[in-house]
This record gives sequence, structure tokens and C-alpha cells, in this order.
Amino acid sequence: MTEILVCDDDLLQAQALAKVVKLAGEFLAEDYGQSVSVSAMESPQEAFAYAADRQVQRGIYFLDIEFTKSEMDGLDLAEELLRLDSQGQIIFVTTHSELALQTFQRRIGTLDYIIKNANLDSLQERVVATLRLAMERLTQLNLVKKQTFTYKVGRQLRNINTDDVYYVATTPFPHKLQLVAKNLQAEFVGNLKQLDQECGFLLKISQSCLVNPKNIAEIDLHARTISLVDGERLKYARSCSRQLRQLKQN
Amino acid sequence: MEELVLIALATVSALFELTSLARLMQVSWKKEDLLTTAGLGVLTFEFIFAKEADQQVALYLANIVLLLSAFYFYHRQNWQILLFYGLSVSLGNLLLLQAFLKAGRGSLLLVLLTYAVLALVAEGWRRLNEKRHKQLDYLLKIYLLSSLLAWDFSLWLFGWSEASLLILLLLQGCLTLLVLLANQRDYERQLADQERENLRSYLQSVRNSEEELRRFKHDYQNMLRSLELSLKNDQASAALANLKKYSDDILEREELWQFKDVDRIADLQLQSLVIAKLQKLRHLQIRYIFEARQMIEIPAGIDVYDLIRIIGIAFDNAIEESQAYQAGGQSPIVEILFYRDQENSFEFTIKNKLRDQQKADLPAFSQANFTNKRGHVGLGLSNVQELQKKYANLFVEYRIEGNKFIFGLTVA
Repeated sequence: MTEILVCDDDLLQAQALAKVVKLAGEFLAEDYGQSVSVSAMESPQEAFAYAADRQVQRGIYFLDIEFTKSEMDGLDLAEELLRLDSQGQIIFVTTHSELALQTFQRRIGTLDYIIKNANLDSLQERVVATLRLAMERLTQLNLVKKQTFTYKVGRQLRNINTDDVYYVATTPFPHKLQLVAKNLQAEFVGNLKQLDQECGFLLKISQSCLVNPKNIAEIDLHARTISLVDGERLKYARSCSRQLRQLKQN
Repeated sequence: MEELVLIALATVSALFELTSLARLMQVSWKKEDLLTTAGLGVLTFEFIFAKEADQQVALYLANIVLLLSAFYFYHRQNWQILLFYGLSVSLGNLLLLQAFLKAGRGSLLLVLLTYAVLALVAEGWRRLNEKRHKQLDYLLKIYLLSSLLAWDFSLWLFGWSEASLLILLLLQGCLTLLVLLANQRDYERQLADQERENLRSYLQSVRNSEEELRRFKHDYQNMLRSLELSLKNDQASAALANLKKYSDDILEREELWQFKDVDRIADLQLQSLVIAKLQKLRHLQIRYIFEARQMIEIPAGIDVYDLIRIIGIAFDNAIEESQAYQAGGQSPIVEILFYRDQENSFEFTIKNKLRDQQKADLPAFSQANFTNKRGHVGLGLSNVQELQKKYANLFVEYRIEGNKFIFGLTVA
């Protein structure tokens, strides 16, 4: 069963939305083989207590942004809820002028939103669409996780598929590394030696560079260079010649 | 032996000239430059060995003509810069010539000094150009004229000697410094002007918004009153629909919220840049979403000018690509986020839509050496790379997600 919480400081609005959500949930339940239970709350504290009490996991949360009667706003509540239920799906219910989607996403990751003051038809449509997406995501979480490469920018952790990594190289600064991947180039905090030990899928080609062998297009043993699938050429150290020769033979 | 020294000297002087020229023009070394260097080396060499004065003059002129035409054709610089450089080179070479004729080979040091001054001027010029791209400054013209005058003057005063050359060099040095300082001030004044202009138009638009809101308040109260009346007359739903439509129309108007969030950028110079760029987007009718929900401050240890430069470049790239996208008949959107999650941190993200062919071109963008060719669309980001190397706690990221290009800058 999927728990759905609706939280708005105007209880009438919360209940009205809960009704729409319930209809949509029942409509979708068959597709996903999951029944739904919908509860409407008035304050963020109440919603949080409810989720904590029942230890809700993989819930779907429809949250207002502004709670005039409370210190906590919708973003704070979302953060707290995600701490309890890390795979929970957040959907903000907001007016246009309150919407700051980029900031929301930066703070709590993937989310969706519904515009409050839209007319009833488009509201229903939107509720169905966001709910379907949330349930879709929850289903996907059940599937096996792909191999990911994780790196840290500031305090943010980012994940990309290991297959997309081209190479990691040092920069003039000891704790700053450069990552080059498919459609991505980034700098992050790290240490090449440690990375070499942790990431078995990367191959060390010199003191300053680890390469993903999957993305090597060609190895030139004479010039001691490798070409990557994006056309970039890297030089490898003499000490790594043997491994690369083996790699070429395979 | 003597010949060897002179050959070495000729090579050194040619290299010096080319280095200062390259710095002056902000160009990287190319095959053509090396060819020019070789040509210059040969010419200078011949020049030194030419016994007849006529021969010397002819070779001297050839030297300059070769240099200038080479740079005209290879780099297509504007004629003012060429003129400026041409005069400097002529001056430098004349000094060199005189030094040889009068002081003999012992003047090697003086020759090197002359080139050092030239290189210094070139470096100063390059720095100026980094900040402002446009016109040749009148002060530099004054500098040239006064150098020539000083030269004449010292000739008249001392005749030809090391002393007169030294005095001239000193004068040139002082003048260079003066020009640099004056230019710096001039630049700051221009910046302040720009800031004032931005703030003026910002205030104007705030005033417009307020006017708009005042009208809204007035109308709203009227409509509420009529709603009240119609409730009594049972025509509520029509009046309600009317009111809803009206308030939606006004409240969702984007220009009303044009500068929403901008005042959260605490640093006035950065704020001014952002206002200018948002205005440009608006002027080009490119839709944008701007968010800054926390107070954004410049982190300690980071020079605000460096941030302004990077962010300015990122905005310009996004605008350029969006214009191209728009020209293709699609509607672009630029999303901008400033974010701070703790003391001394700073995040900036800008996203823009990419044309299809740009997406296809982009494997090349992962190559570490972005092109900084003029006219190349997209990542003219050599400046950004320079700054990446300056700060250990500044992280730059480029990525493509779907049809969006994302540039991110994090200070942590």
C-alpha cells in the first residue's frame, strides 16, 4: 500500500486536494498494483508526526510551501520527511509566485509541483500526471541499481553511470580532481590514489590520470597514447605499458 | 666570435619582439608566427652586417613592413593597434640602431632594456584589453607622442650616449606606469557609470511595478465590492469568474516580477552585472527564470572581479546560444540559480537550451583545450580555465542533460 499525505495549512484546501488525489490514486492503483491511502493534514508538525509514527516508507507527499501558522515551511518539512523516508516522493502544491523550482530541486533533489490556483480540470490532470510519475519512480527504485560513480562538489553528492566516465585527472591543486565523462566535465574534491583503490573499474595510466577502459577507442603502443571514444588523446606512462598491451590484445 | 654574438643578439631581439607582440595581441603561437620570427631574425642579422647606411634603412623598413603585414594577415587586427605597435617597433628599432652605431657592441644591455620596456608596454596594454575590449586609448597616443618628444629632447640635450638612452627609458617607464594608473581609474569610472545606469533602470522598473500594483489594488477593491453586491443579486458565479480571471491576468504577468530575488545578491557589483544581463535577456525577448532565495554573498578569499568575469562569460554564452536557438524558430529559456547553503559557500548555475547541431558537436567540448577562437559559438572559456587554476576551492562544471547545457560554479 502506498501512503499519500496531503498537507496544507488551510484544512479545507487540504481536504479538497486529498479528494482529488484519492480519485487519481484509485484510478492509478490498478496500473501499479498498489492500493493507496490518503490522509489530509493541517500543520507540518502533524504531518511529520504522522509519518514518524507509522514509519512511512516510499510515501508520496503533497506539501504546501507557506505555512503561516508555523515556523517550518514546506521545504523544511520536505527535508525532514526525506530524512525519515529517503525514497519518498515530494510534490509541492504552490502558487506561481512562490514557485522557485531550481532552488527546491537544489535543496531536496527530484520533485514535482502543482500550481494551486489553476482551475479544477487542469488541477485534476496535473494531479494524475504527477502521481503517475511519482509511482513510476517508486517502482523503478525496486529495480537493481545501476553501477554509479559518485563525486562530491561542495557538499553535494552527484552520481553518474560508471560507463559514462571517460577519465579522472589531477589538477594543480592536491585535493581537486577533474572528471571528464559523456556530456560532462567537472571538478571535484578527491585524491587520485584513493580513487584508484576504491574504483576498480578505472585503470591507472599515469601518476596523474585514471581511465575507464570501456571508453578507450584505440591504443597506440609506439606513441604511448590512448584515444578515447570522444577523440581525446591521453599519454600513458612507460610503467603502465604492460597492462595496456594486454588490454589491446584482448 | 663577433659574428656569433651578433647572431645570438639578432635571434634574441627577434624573439623579444615576437613575444611582446604575441602578448600584445593576445594570440597564441602558430606556425605563421614562427615563420615570421625566422624572417625577422634573418632581416635583423643582415641589418647588423649592412655597412651602407642606405642598406640599413631599407632593411629596417623591410623589417617593419614584414612584421606589420604578417600580423595584419594572420590576425586581422584593426589598424589602430597596428599603428600603435608599428610606431613602438620603429622607435625601439631606431634606438637599437643608434645604440649599435654609437655605443658599439657594449650596448647589449641597453638593447635588452629597450626590449624589456617594449615588453612591459605590451603587457600593460594586454592587461588593459582584458578589462575593456574596445577603443585604443587616447592616453596611449599621448604616451607615444611624448616618448618621441622625450627622445628628441634627450638627443638635443646629450647627443648620442648611453645616458640619453637611459633617461629616455626611465621616462618611458614612468609614462607607462602613469598610463596604466590613469587607465585603471578610467576603467573604474566606466564601471561605476554602468552600475549607475543599471540601478537607474532597475529603479524605473520597480516604480512601474509599484504603479501596476497600485492599480491592481484599486481595481481589486472595486471588484470585491461588486462581488458583494452581486451575491445579493444571485449573480455570484459570473462576478467570481471575472475576478479570478482579472487577478490571474495581472498576478501572472511576468514583467511584474522581473527583478524578483535580485536584491538578495548582497554584492552591488555582482548585482549590477546580474541586472544588466537579465535586462539583456528581456530586451532580446528570451524567457528566463531567476532564483536567489538566500542572501548571496561573495565568499572570503575570492576576488569579486573574478566571479564577475566567470559569471559574465557564462551569461554571455547562454545568451548567445539562446539567440541562435531563437533564430531557429524555437523558444529558448534560460534558468539561473544563485544558491548558498552555508557560510562562505557560493553556487551559481545557468542552463540554456541547445540547438541540435550543438549537441552533436559537443563531444569536442570534453577535450580539455576549449577553443578560444573568436566567433566560435559556445565555450570561449579560456578565462574561466585561468580562474579554475587560481582557486583550490572553486569548482567548475559543464554538462549536457537532454537538450540543456548547464554551467555550474561552486565555491565550497
